Amino acid sequence: MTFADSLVYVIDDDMLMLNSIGRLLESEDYSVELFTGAREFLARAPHTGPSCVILDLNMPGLNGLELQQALAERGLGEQVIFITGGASLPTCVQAMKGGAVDYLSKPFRDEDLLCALEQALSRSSEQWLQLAQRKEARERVATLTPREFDVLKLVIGGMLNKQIASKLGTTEGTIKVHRGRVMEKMQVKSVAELVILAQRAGIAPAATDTTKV
Amino acid sequence: MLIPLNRIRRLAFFVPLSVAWFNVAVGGTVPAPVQRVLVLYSDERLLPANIIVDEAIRAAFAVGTNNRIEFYSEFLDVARFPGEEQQQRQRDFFRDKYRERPPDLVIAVSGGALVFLAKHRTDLFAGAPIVYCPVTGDPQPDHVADAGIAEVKVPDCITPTLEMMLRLHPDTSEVAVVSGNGPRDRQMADTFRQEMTTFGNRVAFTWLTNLSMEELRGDLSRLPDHTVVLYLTMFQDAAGKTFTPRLALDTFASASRAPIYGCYDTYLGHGIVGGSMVTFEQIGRKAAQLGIRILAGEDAQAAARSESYRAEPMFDWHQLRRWNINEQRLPPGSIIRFKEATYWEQHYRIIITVLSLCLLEALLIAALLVQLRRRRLAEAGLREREQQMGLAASAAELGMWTWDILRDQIWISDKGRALFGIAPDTRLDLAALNVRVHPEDRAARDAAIRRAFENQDEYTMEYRVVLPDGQVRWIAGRGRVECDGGKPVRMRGVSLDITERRQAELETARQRNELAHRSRVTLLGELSGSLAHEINQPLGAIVTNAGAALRSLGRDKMTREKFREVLEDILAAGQRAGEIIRGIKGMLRKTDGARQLMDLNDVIAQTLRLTQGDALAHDCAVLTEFDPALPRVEGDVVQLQQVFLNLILNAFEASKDVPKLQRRVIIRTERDSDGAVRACVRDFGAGLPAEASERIFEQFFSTKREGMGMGLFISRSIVAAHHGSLCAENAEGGGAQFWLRLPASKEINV
Repeated sequence: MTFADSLVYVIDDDMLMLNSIGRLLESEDYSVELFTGAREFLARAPHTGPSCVILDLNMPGLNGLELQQALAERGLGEQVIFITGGASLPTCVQAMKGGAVDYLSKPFRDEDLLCALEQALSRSSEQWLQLAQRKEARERVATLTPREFDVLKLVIGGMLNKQIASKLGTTEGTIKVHRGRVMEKMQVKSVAELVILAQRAGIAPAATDTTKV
Repeated sequence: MLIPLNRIRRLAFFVPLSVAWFNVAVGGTVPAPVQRVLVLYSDERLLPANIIVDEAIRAAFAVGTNNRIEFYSEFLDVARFPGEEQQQRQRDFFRDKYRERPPDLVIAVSGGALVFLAKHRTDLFAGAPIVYCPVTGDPQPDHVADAGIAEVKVPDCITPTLEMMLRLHPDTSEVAVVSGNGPRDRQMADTFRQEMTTFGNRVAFTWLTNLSMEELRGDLSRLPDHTVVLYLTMFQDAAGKTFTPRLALDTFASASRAPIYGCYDTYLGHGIVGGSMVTFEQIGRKAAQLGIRILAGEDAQAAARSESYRAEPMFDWHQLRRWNINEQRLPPGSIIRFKEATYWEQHYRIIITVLSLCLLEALLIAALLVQLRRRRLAEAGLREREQQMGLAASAAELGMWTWDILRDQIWISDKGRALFGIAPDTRLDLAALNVRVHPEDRAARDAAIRRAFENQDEYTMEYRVVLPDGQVRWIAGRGRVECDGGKPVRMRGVSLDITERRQAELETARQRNELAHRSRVTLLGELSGSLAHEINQPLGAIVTNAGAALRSLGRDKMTREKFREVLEDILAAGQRAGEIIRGIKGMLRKTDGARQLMDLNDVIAQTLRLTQGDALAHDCAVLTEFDPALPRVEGDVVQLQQVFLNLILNAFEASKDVPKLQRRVIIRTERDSDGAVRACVRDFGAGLPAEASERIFEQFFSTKREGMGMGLFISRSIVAAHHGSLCAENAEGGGAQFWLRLPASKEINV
């Protein structure tokens, strides 16, 4: 299966290898871009959407592991599959620690590569989805007034209206109004939904002092 | 007929000249006038003395005058025809006979003739000068006063003869005088009687006269001791038998007990010992000479006075022997007749010749002996030297040989024959020797010989021979070409069995190769990771391409064009994998160090193919700067690759701690100033530890934690086996560089 808007990069200094992978992926209807070196790849404008980098570990210049690190720093969510002629355990471990989806020794079975690629793209899609949701949540949070934001944090902290009112030094009724507006702006119907959204937006619940209650 | 004018003139000149010449010629050849010489002998024609005198006269005239002489001889034979009547008849006869031919000169031989002539001077041969030719014993003539008679006086011979007899026989007490009974004999005896008076008191004289020949012989045979005989003449014995005196002598001489002496040289050889005598030859010659002078117009008396005879003591050698008379005792100036020439005298020329030849032969033999001895000495010296040489040669196990190139003949010492397994005494040529040479080495050996010919220098070659029993031996041949007029004519040299040395060398080489091989295997083991990468790379491409193709086929979306591309890629990848495997296999192969010609650039390039993976693993760039016109070198490709592999991997290793972007290894090849080939492998690492640029080549020396310390040690031994060198130094600008130097192949010259 393919993922919409997904793109696969193949980087290998060996033209024969590079072309063969390109052919394989094209035969499976992936969008593929081929590079003979890491630097050429980095020079390209990043793709917005799920993507995977199939990367030869041993390359002159910037090698596979270094590129992996560079990609992680960039944080565009590219998934990495390593292919290598001679696998050594330390580099394998290092690659996996660095978040590689898979580590394939040449010659590999094409289904292994395709399987890894599917996994990688799905991971990438997932990331792209989360990214989109957080963005949405944050946009909604951005519509909140500071008073409403405070209330949001206390609500997801599990406080009752009365407790929130007391905490904020206002009445329970006022809090109810704020709470209603938060629910409206955040487009949720239940506190549970609100909690998920806030979490996506990366908002931590306010610290609650239950002793005062 | 017309004759040209100038021709006539020439003839006119010629004619008078010819006449003048003719006159001169006639004047010059006027024949000498004929002069008639009559020789008148007193005695008969065959008297030996007359024959001698006649010959002497004619001979003397022949040399003494140019005049034509006509000789006439007449013999009065007064001994047998005595008497006045007889003489008158003869006078008349001569007068008539010579009327028409009167003699110009008359020679009277002996007294009888002179007396006859003198008596008839007026009516016989009147006016003709007379030369008197007296003979010993002739009485002094009365007619010499006649101016027309010239005489050469004959010296007294009887007295000296008697003196001689007494001296040679000092104990003589008696002299027996033999004389005949004819008138001539008596005349002679009378003359003698006058002479002998002076001896009367010294010796007794016995007259053996008035005897018949038989009586005479008897008396002579009975002569007492201390007697000597003097023989005068015997024209007739007492019995009236006539003789010539010489014939008489012949008859009685043998009977005589005593030695006989006489005064006529005609007696010599017929029984007399000798005597003082004027030879008849001398008498005739003198007479002739005197006659010639007189005929030439000289005054007869004056001419006669200026001539003289010479009496000489003469002896018969046989008689001297018979009477045992020592030649030493003869008077000085004695002439010995009939001396039987000794063998030496008879044949001295032959003897001298023979002796000379013998001497020459002896000298030749001596010379030959000397030469032989010298040659023996020389040969002995030579033999000694040869023995020494032989000893040295056999001690050194050397086979010596000489190859006559023009005749293609090879002389080879016994040891040499043994080396080549050739039976003694067989004739050898190059082909016969070549049969023994190992087939694999023949071409190289031929080439070495050819090279020696062309360069006219030394021939050196190590090759194998196969002995008849199949045994293979190594031979080192060394020779020198000898030229004559710039043309190789001979090659001389030695051959040495080097099998053991060669085996030791081969063993060493084998061990070195073995060690190199093990080291190579280890090296490749270390490389296995990166090598696997190198192989997996194309394998991956193949598998993936194939997979892609299959998938496309399944979906029927592969164009023909794409399909071709895939297959081509698969092919290329497969070949690449194959090459790498071949490279690895080559490196793992055991080699025997066999040499081949190669380009060092290729060797390095092949090595780099194997180290690509490792270079990547080390993140190390490899840069090459190859001299494209590098001379080729001779060597074992695999072992040289191993050397470079070692150097390159070391360089990678040394680059570990270098910042990534500066990691690089530079490999350079170039031609040395002296034509050798150099390769340099340089890294930019920490460089060599101080003072270790040589120690790194030692066995078990390693700066690497997991290193065995064998790599450089083996590399250097490999390069040394290639007659090259390997050394290390710290490079300017950091890092180490290794220099490998190999001699360029001689093939450049070809």
